[in-house]
Amino acid sequence: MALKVSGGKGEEAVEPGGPLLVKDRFEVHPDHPLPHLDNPPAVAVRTTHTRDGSRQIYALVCDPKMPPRLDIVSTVHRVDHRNLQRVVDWSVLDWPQEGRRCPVVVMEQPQGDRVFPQLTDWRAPMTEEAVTRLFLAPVVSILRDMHALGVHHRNIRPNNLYFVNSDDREMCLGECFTAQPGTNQTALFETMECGLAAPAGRGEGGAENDLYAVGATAIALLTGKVPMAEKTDEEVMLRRLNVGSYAALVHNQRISLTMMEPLRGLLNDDPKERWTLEDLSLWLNGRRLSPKQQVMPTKASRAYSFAGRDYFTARELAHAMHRHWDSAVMPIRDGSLDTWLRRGLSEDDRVEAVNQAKGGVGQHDDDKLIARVLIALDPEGPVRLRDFSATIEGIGSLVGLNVHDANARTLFARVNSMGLGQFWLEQQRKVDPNQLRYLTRMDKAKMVMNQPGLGFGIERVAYELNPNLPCLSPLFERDYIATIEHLLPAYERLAQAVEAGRVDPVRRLIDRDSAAYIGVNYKRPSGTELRDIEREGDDPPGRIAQIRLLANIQDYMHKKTDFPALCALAATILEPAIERFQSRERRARVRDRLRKAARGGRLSALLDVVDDQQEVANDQRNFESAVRNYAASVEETIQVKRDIKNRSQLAHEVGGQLASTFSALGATVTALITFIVWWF
Amino acid sequence: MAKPATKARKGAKGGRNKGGRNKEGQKTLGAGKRFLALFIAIILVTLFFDSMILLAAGMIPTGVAYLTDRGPRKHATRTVAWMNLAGCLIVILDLWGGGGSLDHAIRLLMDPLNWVLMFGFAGIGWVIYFTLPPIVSGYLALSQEMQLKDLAKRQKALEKEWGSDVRKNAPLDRLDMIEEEIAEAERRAKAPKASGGEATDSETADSEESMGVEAGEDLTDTPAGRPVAGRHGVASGQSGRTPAKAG
Repeated sequence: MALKVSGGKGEEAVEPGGPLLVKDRFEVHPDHPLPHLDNPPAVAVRTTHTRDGSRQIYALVCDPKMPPRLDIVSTVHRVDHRNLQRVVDWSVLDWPQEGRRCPVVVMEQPQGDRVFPQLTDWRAPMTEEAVTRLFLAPVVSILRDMHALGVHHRNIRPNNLYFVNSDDREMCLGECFTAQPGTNQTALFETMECGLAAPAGRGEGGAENDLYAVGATAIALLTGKVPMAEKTDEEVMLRRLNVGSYAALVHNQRISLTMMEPLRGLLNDDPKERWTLEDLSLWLNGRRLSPKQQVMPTKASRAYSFAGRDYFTARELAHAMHRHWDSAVMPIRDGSLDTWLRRGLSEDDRVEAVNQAKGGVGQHDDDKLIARVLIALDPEGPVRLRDFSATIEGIGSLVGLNVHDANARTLFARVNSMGLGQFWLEQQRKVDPNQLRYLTRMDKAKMVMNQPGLGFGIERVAYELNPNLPCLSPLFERDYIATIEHLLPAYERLAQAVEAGRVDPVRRLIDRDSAAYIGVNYKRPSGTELRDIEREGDDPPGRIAQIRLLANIQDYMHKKTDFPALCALAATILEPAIERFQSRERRARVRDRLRKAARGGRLSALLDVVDDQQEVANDQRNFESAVRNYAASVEETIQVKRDIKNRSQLAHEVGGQLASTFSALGATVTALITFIVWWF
Repeated sequence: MAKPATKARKGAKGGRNKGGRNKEGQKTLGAGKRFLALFIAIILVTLFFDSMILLAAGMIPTGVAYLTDRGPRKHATRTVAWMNLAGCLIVILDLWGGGGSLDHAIRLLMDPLNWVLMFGFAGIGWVIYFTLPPIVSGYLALSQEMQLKDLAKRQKALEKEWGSDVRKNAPLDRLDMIEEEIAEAERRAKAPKASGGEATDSETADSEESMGVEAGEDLTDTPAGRPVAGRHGVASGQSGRTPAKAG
């Protein structure tokens, strides 16, 4: 998704509007874009400090579909270096042009221009001394500080460099927050391993990624143009695979022997040979060694023809087979690849690895076979399966950014079930502890993914592997939940929108996405509630469990914040729970209490009313008593109607008795009178 | 409110003595009692022959009543007997006042006024016997109507408070059966009437009056208040329908 404010390029007219307040300190002016400071997909807009109008700041409004690295903002804020563009704060605000909420990062504005406004632009070549002084030396210092804090920049490239002032005497490194690591970089500024992966699957990376980007940027500064800037990523990677990264980037440019040493070190395609920050630091301090010759991968004595082209290295062939996936199975199955590896490439290790890859694969499981063979051919390369291509660290971010893409989900599930991560690890000559850590997380993810319950599945995996991923629930399509603290305010906004009729009525507050998000980010127990929601669905216990989960979050995180609109919505959702009470009178009473509780804005107060076990038990007891009374009254009715049926008989019987009694009385009276008359 | 009817039922069932019952369920005297009665009768006939002649002639209506009375407890016989006896007593006292002799008894029997007196009193007994059951039936109808109305109100109140679920344990199927039986009985009662039969007016009148409810309150949806099949529902004006099973 691209934001509508494009930096004043004229694609979209921006409606004038008032400034938007961020954290009561900054005023963001959506109608004043700063296109020269855009960092796609983020767009820059003018921003002022409410109390200090002289501060030169601007805001980068990020694409909500490409979650920014908000988790490192506070860490990077601690790196106080004049050659690093300083981040001031971040927040989430209503972005009128997009009609939704977007994350925004407030930055200090550099006074000078970009060193390279576009990657395709040219500028005057800089001297070695200038590159060293203005770029390499400060960057080493900045990276040392950042790496010490466990953060990597991952966004170093010529068009993310600014001159600190208009006199162009000092440069500063731009931001590194507005997108996931490596996703904004072209393949040119990524290591070979990351360059072969999809942008979203490049992963967190490490110091070597930053150092490689420093080397590539230095060449651009030295030559005055970005090498191969006009080429596509695919063309760049083919060139780099063919001749090596250093040779591909330098091409025919003249590089002095002095600069050749660090550049060859930084752009070395062998991770073990690549310069570290320490090496670069020593070089800056005057250590001079003879430039290391780039060690190229073993080239075959004869080319292997595949998909209409000849390939001389296993890595090139692996890349080509990934690009022509469906054609790759034939050479693997018919043995021609084995023959070429043995006779052409003559690498016994590779032959062994490919044989190992073929082992344990079913006769008809072509995809698994290809994926394993590609790992065997290019052990340092990404894990590849059809459209899926990610480094071992990048698998998580790739699935996180495509969690609602059915194809990506399927491929991720297959990568997991095929155990490609484990096989990739087995093929490594040297295992990085970070990679082991990622693999352990992947194993955990596998278990979580196979659990069918609410709060688990692929959604949970996405949130587990991507701390920056916002809640992707369809409920919050127009919101941005950067952290769990933003969840209830987002629900409040949603409830207000429902109340105002701007969105359709909400029937459930907890869906699979929000459940998974809460499961990962809410650190207190929530399993019981999630199980109840899963088991009971839309029945009253399920509804109560939804509200209880949110009430727990409110009690834990928003002790002093009330959410009246959310409570009103919750009261509506809890309406069927009131129907649990059998007594109409009690229902009316509970409904009235619920309405009053909703006005208070505390979800727990609603639960106190609806989920009062004593009240429920009393109601049940009274109901059972009423049922008994009713049954007894019907029994009486039956008896009365039976009497109606037999009324004639009864009347005759009783009438007869009465008649004989009256008759006896009458006779007695007559007899007495007769005796008296007769006697006297 | 069920007391009068219950009492009546008890009356119908009760009153058993130590005597046995014949095949028709009628009371019979035991052998000892029969012997005692015969003994007393012989003594009375021996001692008061003239009076017994008079009594035997005067109590003919009672004998007729005994022969025609099919009731198990012979209420008609008893009713007629008491009054008949009172009438005979007047004539017997007249006999005793005249010294008491067989001739005098025959003279008295020759007087038609004495026959009118004895038989007239027996007639009064018949009048009593035929008058009271309809009155009792009317009272029962009124009482049952009140009971049903009370029950319907109770049921309505319970349903208002607890909804139709409150019916879940009520024996409504048995109620339906009873109502069907009533309807069937009424159909049977009406059939001969329509063809000039002999259905008693009192029965029809009873059933039409028995279940009326107050016009202001619709109780027809309660088991006690709904119109019985074959009857004209007083409150709803429905007639001749089989009630749907409630709940």
